[in-house]
Amino acid sequence: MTTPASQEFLQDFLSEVSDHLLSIGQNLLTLEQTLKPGEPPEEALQNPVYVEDLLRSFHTIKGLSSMMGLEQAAELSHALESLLRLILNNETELNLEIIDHMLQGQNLLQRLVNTLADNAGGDPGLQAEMASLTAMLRSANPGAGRPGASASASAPIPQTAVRSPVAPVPLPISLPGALADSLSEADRSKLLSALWSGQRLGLAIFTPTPEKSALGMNVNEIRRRFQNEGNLIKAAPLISENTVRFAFLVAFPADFVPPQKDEVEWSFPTGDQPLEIGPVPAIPPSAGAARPGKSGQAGSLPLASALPGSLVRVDLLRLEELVRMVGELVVCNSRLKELLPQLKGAPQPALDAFSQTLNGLDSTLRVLRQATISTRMVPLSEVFATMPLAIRELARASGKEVHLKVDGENTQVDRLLVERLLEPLLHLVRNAITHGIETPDERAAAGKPRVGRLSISGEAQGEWVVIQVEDDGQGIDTSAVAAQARRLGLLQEDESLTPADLLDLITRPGFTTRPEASLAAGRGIGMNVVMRSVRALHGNLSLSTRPGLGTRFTLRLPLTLTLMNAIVVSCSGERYAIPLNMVDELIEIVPARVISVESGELYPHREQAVTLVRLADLFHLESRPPEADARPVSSRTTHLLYGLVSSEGENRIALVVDRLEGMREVVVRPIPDPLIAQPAIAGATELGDGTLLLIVDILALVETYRQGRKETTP
Amino acid sequence: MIEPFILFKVAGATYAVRSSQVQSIEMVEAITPVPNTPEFVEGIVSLRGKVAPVISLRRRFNFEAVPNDLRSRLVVIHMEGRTIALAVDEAREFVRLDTGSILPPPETLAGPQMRYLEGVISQENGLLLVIKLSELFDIQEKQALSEPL
Repeated sequence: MTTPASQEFLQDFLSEVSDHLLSIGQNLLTLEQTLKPGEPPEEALQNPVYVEDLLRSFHTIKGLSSMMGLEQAAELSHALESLLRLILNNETELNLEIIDHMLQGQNLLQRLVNTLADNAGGDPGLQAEMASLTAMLRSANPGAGRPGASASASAPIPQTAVRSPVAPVPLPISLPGALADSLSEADRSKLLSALWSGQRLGLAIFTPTPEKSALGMNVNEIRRRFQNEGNLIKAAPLISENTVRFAFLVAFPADFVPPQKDEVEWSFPTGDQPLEIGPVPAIPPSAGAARPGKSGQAGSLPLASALPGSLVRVDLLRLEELVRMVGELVVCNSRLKELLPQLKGAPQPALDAFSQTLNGLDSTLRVLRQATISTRMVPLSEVFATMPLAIRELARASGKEVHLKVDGENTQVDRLLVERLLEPLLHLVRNAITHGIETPDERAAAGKPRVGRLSISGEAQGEWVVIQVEDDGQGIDTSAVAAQARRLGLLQEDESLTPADLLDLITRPGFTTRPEASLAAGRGIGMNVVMRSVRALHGNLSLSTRPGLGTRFTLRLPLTLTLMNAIVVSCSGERYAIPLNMVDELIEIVPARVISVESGELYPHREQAVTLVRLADLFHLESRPPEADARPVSSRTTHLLYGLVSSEGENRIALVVDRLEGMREVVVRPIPDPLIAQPAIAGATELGDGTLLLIVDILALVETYRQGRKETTP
Repeated sequence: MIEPFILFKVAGATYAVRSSQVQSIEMVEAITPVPNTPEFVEGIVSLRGKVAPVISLRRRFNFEAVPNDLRSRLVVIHMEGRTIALAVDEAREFVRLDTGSILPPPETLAGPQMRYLEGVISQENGLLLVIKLSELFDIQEKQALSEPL
């Protein structure tokens, strides 16, 4: 708790990579099963989904590793990714030997994670083992050197930036030579994130003497002391002539001051002030940037400055359960209120007392609900803060200059959201720098400032948080995308590219206009990861790009994921809950005014044509008129329907249902089982009587519908 | 080895499942149908706050589906981190069986449910079919995943 930012940064990296390693292991074992004798090997080919998943996981690990400066891990993941691409393209056949190599790679990466996680001395030989596996993978698969398959052989990336094992980032401080030399990649990353998060870096030199030793002051004692007082980044012996001294590099909280009399000699490489780390010409520290340093700490992380004793670490799962239970209470309470009118016959005084108590309960619950939800809320800066470091690495690796501007990092969002945002944001940022922003020379030639601008912003809008990643680069070459799409048969010759098509295409797994992939991007995986992450959070992604001027990606995500207001609708006798934040307005649909066109149905509304999408069709429900509708059967086609209008980008869509039943607060229960999980269903909610109601994600539903239509109409 | 088993009936046949794999047996209450799922998925139910899918073993085994009645039960299985409710015609008995007496399923028995059988146990009042849950879960998942939405 004393060094929250740097620990959290490393923790994010570790937990993200661990998750991917876990799924890699599972996928590999599944594939291995299908290859074992007795099972037809075709099975594996019929399930390229496993290979795609593996590809995505290694791709992400690659990105995260190079961001953390873990070159060897990035190289290894890159080699594995190349191999998987060959398999996906049917250029190499998957066999048990390959699976074995991949498991070996997974194992090495896991060891790396373990080493970093327990902050221990390290795993000697690990780097060498990773290097030798990487080399073996490359030589065993000559195909990995083909253009488009791998960048490692032809290496179109600047060698110094990514591959050189020494000094990937110049340290902004000077250290004794022996200490600086002994810093591993992980140590350097720790050091940089400590600096950058506003901690005070102390260098303590301990000279052992027999007298000190007699008093119990030895190296182990000192080491233990610093592990307690701060975050021990590195301990190394300094040997000169015939004395041995020990150097301890420790990150302390910004206000750390060493004792007047101490058993060690102190120096502070960053001076007396806790650093303005100056990073990098590429990222001038912009005002209000997402640096939870001195100023950020006060504003966005008020708790971090509180006394350590007043903080309690709580398991997120327990917190989630707590929020759910409070949610259930809210639901019970509203059910009690619904039941109140049924007590009409009761004596008036009892009834009054009852309803008074109910009102009291109501207001207490409101406060309780707000308080519980807020325990889960954290500022966006927790994820934004990891961006400058990533951007610096990427900019350096691609020889570009980038100025980062961060806005709205104090926006409070659900903790879970912040965790799941890291990956898609990294991909977007990586795309902006590798594909969007031009080199300084190209920019100058185009009459733009040499330094590219990248902005990341977050803003709460109602029950949504809107996150934008915008660059002022060259924009997406839509004609190249269209050409590639025609080549792949995804777009007809005479068809032009709509903005929705563009987003569809670039988020397709494996879609890329780049002939060569690089370590950073270009394999067409990243945008697919972004889309999947956004979908998994029941949000949506949109894109606007202008040639020569830049590209902007907008992520719209729900602020909280457990409790929401929903509209209950009925359709063909089934009831569904629809999150209120996905609905712009409710309209009545007069069947006579529906316009049938070749591609579907349109409805005039506010001088616009709204596309009608019938829930009964999408859910394959037998169409039947609402029972309560008293009209004669003959007027079946004229009964009123209701539409819930939702805008998806520029398209306005009305989801057509039979009836609106009312609004209620619902507690979202996830539906994790693969038998029923699907993007269009955001979860289920329990009604007071124990029955479940499905929560429908309109945006995902409409997306599924659009995809389905595209595939069936040639 | 003697192990406890739960017995249940589907379309006249008696099946046995290891009770260590059974989390609970529930009355059938309202099942909420879920669109775009394999035909054998009846829907979802809430089991003490958790949402679990309900699989109709009748439909899974290609028997005629019948409406649930008072004797219908949900045999709730917990395995490999998943919780799944199997809808069966009735489930009452809890017996101890000698796993050594499980014989491989006879070749003459045919039908899709054969895949999910670990073996059979002969008893005075007929055959007990011992369910192999891992296979049941596994294949269902693969099929569900390969089915278009």
